Amino acid sequence: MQREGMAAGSVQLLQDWRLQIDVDMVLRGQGADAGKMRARNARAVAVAEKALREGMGLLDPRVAYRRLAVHAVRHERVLLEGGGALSGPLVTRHLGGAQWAVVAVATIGARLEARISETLKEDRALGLALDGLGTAAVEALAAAACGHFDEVALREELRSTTPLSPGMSGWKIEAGQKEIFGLLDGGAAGVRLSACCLMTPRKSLSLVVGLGKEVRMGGEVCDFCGLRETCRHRKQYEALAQAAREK
Amino acid sequence: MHDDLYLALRQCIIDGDPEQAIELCQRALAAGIAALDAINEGLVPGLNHVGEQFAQGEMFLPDLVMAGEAMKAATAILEPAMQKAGARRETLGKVVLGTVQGDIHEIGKTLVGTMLSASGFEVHDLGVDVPFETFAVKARELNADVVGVSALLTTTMTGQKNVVEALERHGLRPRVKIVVGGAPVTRSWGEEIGADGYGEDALAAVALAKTLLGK
Repeated sequence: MQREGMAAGSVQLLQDWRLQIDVDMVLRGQGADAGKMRARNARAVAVAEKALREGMGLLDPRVAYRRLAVHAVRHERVLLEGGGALSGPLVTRHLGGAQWAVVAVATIGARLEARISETLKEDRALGLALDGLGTAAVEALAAAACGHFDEVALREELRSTTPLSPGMSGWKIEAGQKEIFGLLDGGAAGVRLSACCLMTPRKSLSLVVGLGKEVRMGGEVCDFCGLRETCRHRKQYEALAQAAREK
Repeated sequence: MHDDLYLALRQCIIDGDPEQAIELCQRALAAGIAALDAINEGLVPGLNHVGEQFAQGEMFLPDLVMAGEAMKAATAILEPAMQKAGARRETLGKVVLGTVQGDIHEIGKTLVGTMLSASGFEVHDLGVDVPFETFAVKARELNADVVGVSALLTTTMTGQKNVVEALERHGLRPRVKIVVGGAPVTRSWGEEIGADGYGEDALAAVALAKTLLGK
C-alpha cells in the first residue's frame, strides 16, 4: 500500500493494512516446519486453513509510531527530541549514528485473542492454529510497518536499522517497554502496558528503528533475540531471512 | 491376536484423528479387547512415538495437540468400559497448573495440560493470571502431587518464586513438587527459586512430572 511519509514529532496511526497471510505462515506461527507438515499431516494443514478462514476477519491491524530526532548519545542513552530517551547497549550501538528514531507499536487487536481463548476450551487444535495465525499476522504487520519506514528512509536518502525490540539481548524488557510506551504518550494503537510490562492485546509488538545516513545496517532480528540459544524456531526464521535476501 | 487393531489405535494417535480413535475404540471393545489393553498396547505407544518425533524435531506442536485430542476422544470411549469391568487406568498423579499472576499467556500452559492428561495425569487447569496464593490453596484442596507454573516473560517469571514461597507457607513442601516453565525460564532459574524442576516443553514437563513422582 502506498503511504505518505512520516511526520516528525507527534504520534501517527497507520490503519487499513492488507495483510497477506497464507497457510504456511499459520503453520510456522505454531512453531511447525510448514514443508514437513504439508508432507505428513494433512489434518493439521486443514485445521490451519480453517483458522485462516475463521480468523482473518478478526484482525484489526494498527500501527502507532512516532518519529523523533536523535539529539545525542550519552552513557548508553539515546537522547531524543522532547526530552525522551532510549537506553541500553543494544539501542545505543544501533541508533548511535541515527538522525531519527522511529518508535512503534503494532497490534492485530483483541478480537482474535478472544476467539482463541473461547476455541481452546472446545477445540485445542483449532485454538492453537488461530494463535499461530495471530503470531503470523502480528509479525507480518511489524514487517510491513518496517517496510514502510524503509521506503520513507529511501525516499529521504537515508538508511534504516534492523528493528529492535525490548527483550532482545542488551535491551531489558522493563526499561525498553516503559521507554517506548512513554514516548508514544498513551497513543499506542489501543495497546496497554501492564505493571509487568505485558502488552495487551497480547499479539502486539513494540519496536524501534533508526534512520540516518550513517546507521549500521546488517544483522537479522534473531541475531539479537534473547531466546536465541533455546529457540526451536530459529532455523526457520533464519532460513526465511536468507530466502528474502536472495530474492 | 489383536495386533492389527493395536497398530491401528497407535496410528490414529500419531495421525491425531479423534474420529478414527472413537471408531477404533468401539471396534476394540466389540472385539472383546479390554479397555486397559487398548490404552496400554495401542494408544500409549502412539503417544510415545509422537513424543519421540517431537523431541527429534520431526513433529511439532500441532502434532502434539492433535495426538492429545485423539487420546482424549479415545479414553472417553474406553473409560466407561473400564469402570464397568472394575478396572481403572492408573492415575499418575494430580497436577494443578496455571499461568502466574500478571501473565495472561495461555497456549503453552494449555499444551502442557493436554499432554499431561493424555499421559495419564489428572490435571486441574487454573487458567491464566492466577494469584500466587491460589496455586497453594488449590494444591491443598485437591491434594495435588505437582504444581506447574507457567510464565512467558522475564517480568512475570519472578512470580514463580512467589508460588514456591506460597506453597512453603502452606506447609506443602517438599511433598508437593513444583515444575516451572515458559520461554524465558531456565533450569538454573528453577534451581534458584527452589522449584523441583524445569520443563523445556510440554513433553519435557510430562517426563519431569513422572520422574518427580517416581512413575
